[in-house]
Amino acid sequence: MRKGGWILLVLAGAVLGGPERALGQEERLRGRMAPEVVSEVTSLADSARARSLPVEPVIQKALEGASKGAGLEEIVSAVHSLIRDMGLAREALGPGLPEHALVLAAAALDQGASPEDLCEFRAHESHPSLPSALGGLIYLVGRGVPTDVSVGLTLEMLNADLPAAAFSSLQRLVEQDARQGAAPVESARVRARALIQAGGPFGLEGDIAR
Amino acid sequence: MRRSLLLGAVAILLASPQGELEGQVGRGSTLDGLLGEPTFVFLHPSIAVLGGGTERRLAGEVGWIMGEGEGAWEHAIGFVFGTADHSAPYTWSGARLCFARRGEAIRLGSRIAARGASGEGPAGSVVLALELGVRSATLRVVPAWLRGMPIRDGGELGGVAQRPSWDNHLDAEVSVERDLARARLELRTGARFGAGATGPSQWARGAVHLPIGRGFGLVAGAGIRPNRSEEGQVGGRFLEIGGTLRLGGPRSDAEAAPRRPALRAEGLEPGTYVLIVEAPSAYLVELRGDLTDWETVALRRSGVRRNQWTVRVDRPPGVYQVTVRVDAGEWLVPRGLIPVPDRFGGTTGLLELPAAEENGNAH
Repeated sequence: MRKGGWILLVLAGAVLGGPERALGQEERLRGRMAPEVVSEVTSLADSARARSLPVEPVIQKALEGASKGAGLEEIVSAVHSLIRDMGLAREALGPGLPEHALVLAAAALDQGASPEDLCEFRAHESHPSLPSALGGLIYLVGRGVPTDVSVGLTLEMLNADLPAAAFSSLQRLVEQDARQGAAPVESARVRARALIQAGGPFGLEGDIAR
Repeated sequence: MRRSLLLGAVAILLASPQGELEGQVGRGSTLDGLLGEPTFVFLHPSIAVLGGGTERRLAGEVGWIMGEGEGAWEHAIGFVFGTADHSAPYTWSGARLCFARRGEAIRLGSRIAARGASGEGPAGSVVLALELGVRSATLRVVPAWLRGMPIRDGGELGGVAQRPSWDNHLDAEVSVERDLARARLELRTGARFGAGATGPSQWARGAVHLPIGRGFGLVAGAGIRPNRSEEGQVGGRFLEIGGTLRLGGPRSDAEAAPRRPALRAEGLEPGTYVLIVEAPSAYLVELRGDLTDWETVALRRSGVRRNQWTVRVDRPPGVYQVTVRVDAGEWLVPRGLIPVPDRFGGTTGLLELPAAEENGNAH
């Protein structure tokens, strides 16, 4: 095929593929929510796509709202804030962030972390444990640990190159301590440092639980 | 007099709004606080059509469960009561002790109940039940000692009353349970041995249990059933429909959040996981999240570990958001998952489906 032919084929694919994807999204939304909500969400999804942000989390957020009985304004507001936070998260952490890490980073912003807090993680953009670290950050902030302490502890764990499982261990250990009356902030400090010293959660949970 | 008191107590229980009743008998109630153990109330009204007429029954139990968990002995003590009306009224009340141990594949259990009664039936009874459960099958051996009993036989003997002073018998039963979508099917067959035994000496019956709401369920059954005269049950061919109401019960986590079930993911093969929800005493467990496009999906009860509910998902590794609910109650973030704001004023749980090399480390 001549060079011009390839270009035409690629252009045709781009033109046809875009509306097809949009139609697929509309199809998933239709029947689950009112037509005006579908229209608004589709428009927001298109705006996310135009900014090279993932569209699937946008569709999922709308479906979540519909399943929870949210109205038009609530769904649009939730989707809008998600797109905003995903945009901020990508600026803070870099363009190469996987989709699920981007969604977690957006959730961290919604939980109370700031874009500046997320910037601290930029050096670990390609670290395999980054999504779990962001999950750990969300957990600690949600548990009432001050954001600067939460960021500091999760960064220390990432710097120590701990595996993803270490962050779920941290959560379990802090919960265990909280049931015995320990303050989450103190528990998080002690447990995170113990995990770092041990190089991971392997065999540690049982030992320090006693 | 005793019957009036019993009916009065039941009427008070039934008249209480659900939330109020749960407050009285569930976690945090005065009774609960006094005993330091979870309380439960169970009621089972039913109507059965038999050869000799219609039987109306209401059976119930208020009890306390002590100890819980796989591999541990669970003990329960309960106050049992009931009333039945077939050809004549019969009321009973008494105490029941249960001991059970649930292992990975095998369950052991024993129950002993002592009842006193008035009306048309045994004046007193002691019934011991020994159970061995393997997967979804249960073998049950039930010796019973009944004292001073007029018995009717469901009409097959023309309603002739027999009045032996004692009826000592031994029942042997096998039952099998199977989940069918939301409902649970139970098939039961058995035989009775003993010189004083009355009613059918062999029986086979089926029942379908359908949960319809938090703590509520419907039961429909048919077949041939034995006399259980100590509980006002007349033997013979029958067709029955009834309801169940259960409030309170074992705690899944005594300290943290007793009603929150636990969830974990196990990888089966790359891109395929089984989600396991631990929900003791549940009749229905459902899940929704971005794994299911936020459609509500009912989980299947495990045939091996009866407090586990599972669903298989085909998704790539990653982090997903889910919530679960038990017995059509409130949607909750399961234990073991990180709660995150959902931007709708609630929370969802973060579930990590690990890549193959990390399997086993899922939340």
